[in-house]
Amino acid sequence: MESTKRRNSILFVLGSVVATCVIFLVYYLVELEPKGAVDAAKAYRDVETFGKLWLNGYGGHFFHFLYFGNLNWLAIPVVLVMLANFKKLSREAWAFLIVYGACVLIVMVHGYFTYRYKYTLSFLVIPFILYAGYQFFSRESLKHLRGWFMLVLLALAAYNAWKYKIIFNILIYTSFLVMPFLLYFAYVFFRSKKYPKLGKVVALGCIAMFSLWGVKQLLKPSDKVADTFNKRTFFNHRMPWQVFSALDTIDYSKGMVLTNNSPGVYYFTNTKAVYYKGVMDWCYATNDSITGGRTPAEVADYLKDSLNINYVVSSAFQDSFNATFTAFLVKECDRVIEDDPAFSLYRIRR
Amino acid sequence: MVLTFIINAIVTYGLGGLALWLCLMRWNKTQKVSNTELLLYAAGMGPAAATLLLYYLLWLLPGQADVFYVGSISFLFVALIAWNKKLLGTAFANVRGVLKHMGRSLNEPFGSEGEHGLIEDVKRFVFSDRTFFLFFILLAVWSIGLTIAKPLNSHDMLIYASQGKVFYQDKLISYGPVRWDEASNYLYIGLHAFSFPLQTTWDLLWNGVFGTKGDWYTRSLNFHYLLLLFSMAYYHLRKVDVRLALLAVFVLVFTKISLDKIMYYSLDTYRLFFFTAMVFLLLKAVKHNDWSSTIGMGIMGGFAAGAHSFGVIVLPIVGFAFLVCLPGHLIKDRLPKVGVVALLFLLTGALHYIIDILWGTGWIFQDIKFI
Repeated sequence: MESTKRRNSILFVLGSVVATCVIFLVYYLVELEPKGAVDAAKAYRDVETFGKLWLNGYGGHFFHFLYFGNLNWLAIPVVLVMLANFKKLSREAWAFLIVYGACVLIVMVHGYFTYRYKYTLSFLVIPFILYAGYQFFSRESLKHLRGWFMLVLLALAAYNAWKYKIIFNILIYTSFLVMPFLLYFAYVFFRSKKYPKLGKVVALGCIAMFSLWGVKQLLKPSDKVADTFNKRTFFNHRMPWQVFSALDTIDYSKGMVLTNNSPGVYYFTNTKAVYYKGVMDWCYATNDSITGGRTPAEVADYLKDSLNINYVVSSAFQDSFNATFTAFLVKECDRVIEDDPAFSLYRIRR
Repeated sequence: MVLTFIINAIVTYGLGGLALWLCLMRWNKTQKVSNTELLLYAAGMGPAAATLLLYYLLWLLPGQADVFYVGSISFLFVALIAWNKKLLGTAFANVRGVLKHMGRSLNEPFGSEGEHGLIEDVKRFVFSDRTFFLFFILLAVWSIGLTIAKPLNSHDMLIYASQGKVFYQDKLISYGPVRWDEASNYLYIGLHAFSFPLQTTWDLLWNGVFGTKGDWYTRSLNFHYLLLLFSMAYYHLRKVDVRLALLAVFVLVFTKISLDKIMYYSLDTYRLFFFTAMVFLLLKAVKHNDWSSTIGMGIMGGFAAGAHSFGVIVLPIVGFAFLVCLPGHLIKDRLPKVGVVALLFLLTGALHYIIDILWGTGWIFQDIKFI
């Protein structure tokens, strides 16, 4: 038994090393610099290179580490092991494999471009991997490795969160919420009967940390506190309210508004607007391009004469995808309002 | 506005969830699935049930006053609760049990009883329900803050909300080759059923009844379902090992997509909840062969379809897996159950797609049409 355990321990270490190598290989492949011109729309979706298209796109459910963590791919060996032992599988294991397998295929074929579709299986695959792994390591000869199994997965997941600054971001956003929890820990440790001295020391430490944090906030100049809140917290809700207010004052009997991929104009205002997706140069109303084969002046004529449009709502971010549209805004329009966040209302000069 | 939100939340999340929980408990005669687990599923069913009913009302009885829609649906929730009033005691005992456990876990001082060393006590302190409850409270506080402070601001969310506004203004759901609103020139090119856009309509109806303005309810959906998703993952693995459950939550939280969902409004948590719950209930139904899981799966599948096209695409696969993996005689046992599930899929969400294919836009079988 001891020799079996030792052999299993060695295999576990080897398996962990292989898993780590696979993960680092994926990091390496997705970080390769693209050769030649980059398609902005593909870059936005993180699928602009061949490697990224396959790893982040088609195989995104498993290998898009930035969005889904670096453990999902472990479902592949788990499923293979299950299939190798298909005679022993329970009914519910079969049901899971059928549904999961089919969903993975659908996501790979139809959802490869949109990371949100690949998210669909996240809350199934992580419990599945962890549960299957736990069951595997619950065998008598592997039980001593169960804790290590969880520790290795924790380390890999934590590394991914650290690499992509996710831990950092979450801490930045939530620090002002986490800090009051120090008071809770002080309460719990202060009441410790088993470790009265240690409990009180930890409790005092927690209170001291909380107080230091509080004093630091109080000593900050008020504008800096406001700035911190604006940048880091949920009070940062930059919305183009000025543009939206102006839209409600326009006389739509004379012409409409073109909104560049901003559906907020329909929800927050009573605008009459034509929807345009600049990133694809696609106008919903005509099911056609607006800038394709046209000069900025021709775009202005087309919008005015064919679509009855007087105003344009767009943002710097949306403009960045379409050079002709940007040129049209600069050369053929007057900026009526420039709002936050880099969001503007333009009037076509005609 | 605050009061409108609170009343809406009590009716939709509270009464709606309770009504469906009691129904699931009623069918849970074998008790193979715990009532606490059913509570977890039912906690997400209220909003989808409300918009399912609203869908049928706006389709079959259009053009009524706001109070008619709000009143009818609220009345139905209350009627369902009254129908199952005998189970109310059990339900409240369950909720009390969960809250008591939460309180006990959080109140427990450091250092457990017995002859454990310090290291073991630290382990027990960290690897306990307390850690999850603290995370849950943190996320809940964050969610409430965000709901209050942050306007609807992400692209897709505003697409659905805008269509919800159109439904509210028209007080009508009809089918045609294009979904175009003449007043705003808004063209809805979404391929999904209306469960999610109708959440905004439901919000606007409540505001209409009370003469207020606001969309806190629509905003709250994202976080409500995010909390439920984390709770569902934790609950299922907690039964195996608390360390495993905490690891799952850690892995799921510390990804960019979760950070996005914590920061921005989206349809995703809503649709994911129903899809994930449907699969969990499928596994339960196959394992236990009981009616509670089967009906729960049927309803969740329909709600998943109502929320997103992906949900309806997977329904035949789920039905097939259920038929193949269920124990018992094919004709006598399995087919009737699959029939019930298929009917539930249809009535609670999938029907829209059939109508849309036959008399509407054609769904995915035609190019998206324009004006």
